[in-house]
Amino acid sequence: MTDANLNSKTFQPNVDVAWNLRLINGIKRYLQSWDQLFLPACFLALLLFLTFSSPYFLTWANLRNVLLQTSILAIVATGMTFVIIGGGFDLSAGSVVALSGTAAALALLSFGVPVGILVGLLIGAAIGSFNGLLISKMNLSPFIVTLGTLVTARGLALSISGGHTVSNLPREFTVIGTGNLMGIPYPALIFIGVFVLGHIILKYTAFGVKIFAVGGNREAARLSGIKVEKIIMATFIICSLCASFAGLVLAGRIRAGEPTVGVFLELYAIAAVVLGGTSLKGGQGSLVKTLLGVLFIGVLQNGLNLLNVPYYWQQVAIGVVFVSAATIGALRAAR
Amino acid sequence: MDNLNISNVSKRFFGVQALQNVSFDLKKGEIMGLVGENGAGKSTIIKILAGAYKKDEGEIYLEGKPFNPKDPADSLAKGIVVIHQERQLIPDLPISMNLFLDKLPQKKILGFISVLCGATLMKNSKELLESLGINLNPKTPVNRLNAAEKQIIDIAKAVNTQAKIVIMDEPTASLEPKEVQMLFKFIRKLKNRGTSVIFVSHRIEEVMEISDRITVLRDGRVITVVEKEETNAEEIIKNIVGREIKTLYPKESAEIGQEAFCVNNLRFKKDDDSISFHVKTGEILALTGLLGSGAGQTLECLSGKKEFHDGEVMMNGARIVIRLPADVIEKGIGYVPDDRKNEGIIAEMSVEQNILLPSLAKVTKFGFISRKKAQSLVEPLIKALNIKTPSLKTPVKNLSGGNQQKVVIAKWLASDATVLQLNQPTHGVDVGAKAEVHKLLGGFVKAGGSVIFASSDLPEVISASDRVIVFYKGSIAANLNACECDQEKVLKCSSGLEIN
Repeated sequence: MTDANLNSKTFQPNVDVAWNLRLINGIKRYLQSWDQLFLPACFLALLLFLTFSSPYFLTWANLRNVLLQTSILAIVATGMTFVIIGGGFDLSAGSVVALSGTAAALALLSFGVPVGILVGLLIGAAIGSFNGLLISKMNLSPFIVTLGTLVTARGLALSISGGHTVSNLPREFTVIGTGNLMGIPYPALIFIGVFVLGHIILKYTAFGVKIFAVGGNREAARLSGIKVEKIIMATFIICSLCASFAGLVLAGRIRAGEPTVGVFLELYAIAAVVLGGTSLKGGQGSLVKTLLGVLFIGVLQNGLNLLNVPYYWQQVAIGVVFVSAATIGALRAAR
Repeated sequence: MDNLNISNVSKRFFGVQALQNVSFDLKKGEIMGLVGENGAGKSTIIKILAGAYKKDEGEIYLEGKPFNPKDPADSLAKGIVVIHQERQLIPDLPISMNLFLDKLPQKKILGFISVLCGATLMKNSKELLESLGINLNPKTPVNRLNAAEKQIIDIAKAVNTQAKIVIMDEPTASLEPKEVQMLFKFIRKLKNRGTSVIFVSHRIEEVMEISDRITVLRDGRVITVVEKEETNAEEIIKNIVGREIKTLYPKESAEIGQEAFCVNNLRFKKDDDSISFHVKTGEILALTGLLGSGAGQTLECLSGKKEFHDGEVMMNGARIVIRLPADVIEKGIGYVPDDRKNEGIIAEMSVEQNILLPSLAKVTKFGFISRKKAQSLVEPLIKALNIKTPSLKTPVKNLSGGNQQKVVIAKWLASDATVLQLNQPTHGVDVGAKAEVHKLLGGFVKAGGSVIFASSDLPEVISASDRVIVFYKGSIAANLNACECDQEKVLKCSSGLEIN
């Protein structure tokens, strides 16, 4: 064995390797993978550009606004990251935001705030279970199933509210979307909380490892004793729960249950996840990447606002940025 | 004149020297065997020739002209064809269309509508097949061909593009002995046409049979280039591993104890014959038979990978219900699948995480993975199995095939499995790693475990097991003690000529 060690250029891992050597190796590896630095560099460039082109950009009021604006997207994208790493995706998230917000608003007007919140979250859990069940047990394509729930949930949201905004929500409820702690809006705090929790689950728990395993190679994961169906189901439930939670926060923020909110939100969430560098193939990625993707989209939108770009052109700009980023990513991968 | 001349080619990947001053040449119409352990540099040199990698240093000349392919298409255009194990044929189309897919003959009707010209296609296909001595009807859909025929069509398709050099990477891995001979006959025809062939394989006997010369690679260097007449299999193996292997599969004797695992009347489908066997602690049981005879399928059923009709499975005297792989694993039965890439490893995940997958519960507290526990479980295994990896965090995809296989086995050693089922455990693994795998299994049964492995490699089946069960057409044809059987006997049983 010693012979083999001397001959080969690889070495056996050793716990005693000095920590600083490991740190240096780590940094080296990080620098080698230029992939990891590309988006942060672009993000930094965007921040610098906006700082110089708009005097208003780097003010507390504006940054606060960015956080508030991106919080809903961030919560949805956190759930979406779980599904995507597990090898699927969820088109229904935007509709779930609308349905749970609207249903919660209706329920809490009749039965009080706790019941309202519970109803909102239960709807998320139910839709997630439905998606997960069909996709994992029946082996249906995530595209078909979640496209179906996208339409259904939107239809339900419009039906139960009669297509009208459900307003006059009590203050105890709206505070989750409008209040703040030492100047930081609650939605921003909530999204940071959801994000940190998600990150810990993905990175440090056995459940997190299993999600990566299932997304990376479903059959190998199954043969390693992982109950693949349960894991896939769990990722869809997490995604819908995050969406319904986002729906509650959004309803609080706009002080109403609005059945038409969240159109295309799922697509922005998928875009944020992919922009961050998580692969749609599954099995790789991280929430830190997603956060970067979300902030990138948030800051870009904010910047376009500050630069007085008309709303319709903003959409064009975001689309162009997204496709460019994907193209650059593909070019780098092909290298 | 030399067809190909490789001189002092070097290549580094992230600090690993994959090739170091590799030089050899290839004459026109020569068959060159290229052998070496996994990670010796065979694939790297092939990929450089195919234009997938760029060399760092050195020169390559093709027919005297410097050869620096921009990309695989460029390399192909210059006449270097690589035949991969994965076939690039379209199953539902006939042979003729597969052969000329990139330039289907067309004719114009009414002066402007281009349509396929069936007659020309048939004529061209017949000519090509005839010139290569292939006796197949061009109208036959590719999915009706056997593995060797498919391979031959795949090569014929490539030769069609005026190949000067054909590189075959493990072409016989999935072929039956008879099919191998078919392929060899065809390779010799190529040779007679003046095409040079680089034949890459782990099967030394086949390399000895087909090659004119043999190049041995080890640790990215050329160890020797010899004429076939001047060497023999033992010498080649010695050069490949760099040390003498006394016995190919050193089997230590272990104390054989009580019955550990028992299968009664297993039937794949309702009308199939039933299969019954058992394995004791300390025992290594080999299942063998021709491709599709049921040896591998038995393990796939017993591991929960595939469904079966009925049958009773007992572990230490207690009946177990098999619905999912998880049910079996829970009882301490591990399974190493035959398709390492698609079923064994999770390529993007680290060595450590791959090994931990079945044992996550052991290193987890309140759902959180304990880094310390994980490391203390995985690290000794990596040392004991001599898995060559830069670190625990390296993605498994960066390891060589043999080391990946050791990772898959390490999974079950980490999980405290007491019965290990392995399906083709040394498929596509080099001689040295093969011996290491069997040494590992020997150690496993010595510690009180039981091993069942399915393999079609006869020397392995006979020398690495205590008992051999031979399958023929889905049922057990013979149950032999390893010490009283030889290759001839096993072969006879597996082809239905003798039943014990």
